[in-house]
Amino acid sequence: MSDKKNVEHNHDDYHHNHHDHSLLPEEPELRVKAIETLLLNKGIINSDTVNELIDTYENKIGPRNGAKVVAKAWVDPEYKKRLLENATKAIEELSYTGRQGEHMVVVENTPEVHNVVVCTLCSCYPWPVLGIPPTWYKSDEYRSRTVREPRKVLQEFGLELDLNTQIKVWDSTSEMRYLVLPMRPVGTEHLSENELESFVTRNSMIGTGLPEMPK
Amino acid sequence: MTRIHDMGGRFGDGPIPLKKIDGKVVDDEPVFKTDWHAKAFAITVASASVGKWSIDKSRFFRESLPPKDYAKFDYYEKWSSALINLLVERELINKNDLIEITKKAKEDNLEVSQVTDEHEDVLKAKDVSITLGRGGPSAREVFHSPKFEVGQEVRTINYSPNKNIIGGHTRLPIYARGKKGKVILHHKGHVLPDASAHDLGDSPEHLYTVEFLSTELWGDKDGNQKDSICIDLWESYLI
Repeated sequence: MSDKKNVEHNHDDYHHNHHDHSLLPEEPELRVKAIETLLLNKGIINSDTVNELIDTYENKIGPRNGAKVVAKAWVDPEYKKRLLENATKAIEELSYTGRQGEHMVVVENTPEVHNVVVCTLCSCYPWPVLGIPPTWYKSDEYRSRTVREPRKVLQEFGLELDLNTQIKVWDSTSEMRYLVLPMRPVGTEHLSENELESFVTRNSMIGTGLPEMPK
Repeated sequence: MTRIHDMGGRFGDGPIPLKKIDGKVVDDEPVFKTDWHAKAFAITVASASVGKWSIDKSRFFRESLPPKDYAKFDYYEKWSSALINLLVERELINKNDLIEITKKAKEDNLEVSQVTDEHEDVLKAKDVSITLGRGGPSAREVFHSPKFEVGQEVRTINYSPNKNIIGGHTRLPIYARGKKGKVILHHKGHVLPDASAHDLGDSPEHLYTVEFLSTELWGDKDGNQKDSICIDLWESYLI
């Protein structure tokens, strides 16, 4: 296909009908059931695969993965160095790789800088270490407000930051995926990597929270 | 102009929808709130093996939903609706299929038949783990040296970077157009979403993270004058 033809074809793309979904039942549960049935009958998806995908993200891939990365960085300065230099490789050492975490960057919180991650354009989020994003992360409210008024947004999470602390908001517009390395809580010097893991909350790795004493 | 998904900095949205008990955030939401959320997620991920669309194309189809639908739909309604539009565009299903299945759905007669001829590229359950673990890296070699270096001041262009497609996909948020910032990271070559979303190939470009002062984006404001927003931007978005 010549370049010209390609471009012409894709001008058509713009005029493509993005309304075909309105032919389906309006009620979302029934709509999804209809699509699933259609795709199974057409041999485009396989029902065992659907179950396997759901099981994977419900039970195998989630924020406990990220907590292991953080706890390891807290106790192992060499690992922390590797993590900040090449996060993708360092996280791969713990076997967390692949979809929506192909290119990782870890950003470190310090007394001077607090990092917080958002995706204003959609819902980009590091799946291999944090799993599927929570509803609030995908909400219009979080997407629209975090870049303009991060301090107010963080207050709603119960996080009051000192005015001397610089806030860095990371808007995930590319395939780079950002994980926040929170500060290790004071008074935990005697704890093991395993014990520290339970201090690492999901929100502390997005930047909307801090590590917490486990209940 | 831009599309409805490009909402960074927009006014009017209320409090972040958080679960709180006694004023404290409680983070105990299940991964999928309902069965249909889980199904919408899984059928979308699974269909991509046959549909072979790029992640950029699937994002473009979500953001191209009519603005009224985009604003009204739940997250997974957007996913499932965009999925259908993608499948029609790829000619894997047609409008008659949709009309027929809707008729059956309304008659409460959705039945899965015995499928004897699965598509050759269908994602098999045994391959899920390896497929997810491999992912779809977007890094590509670029054969010219980077135009910008870390520490350099740059400015974003002041219009939609997508030159081929009017209203096409792009990842330069409108709130950061025509703004001055500083390159803080260089990620080497990556697939250009503006091309990949429209089946125009990878067209890789150097990708940078650019840090913008909050005051540059929003004008003088309360807070720390060093507060900043870091955005990943492709070379053609920058001057």
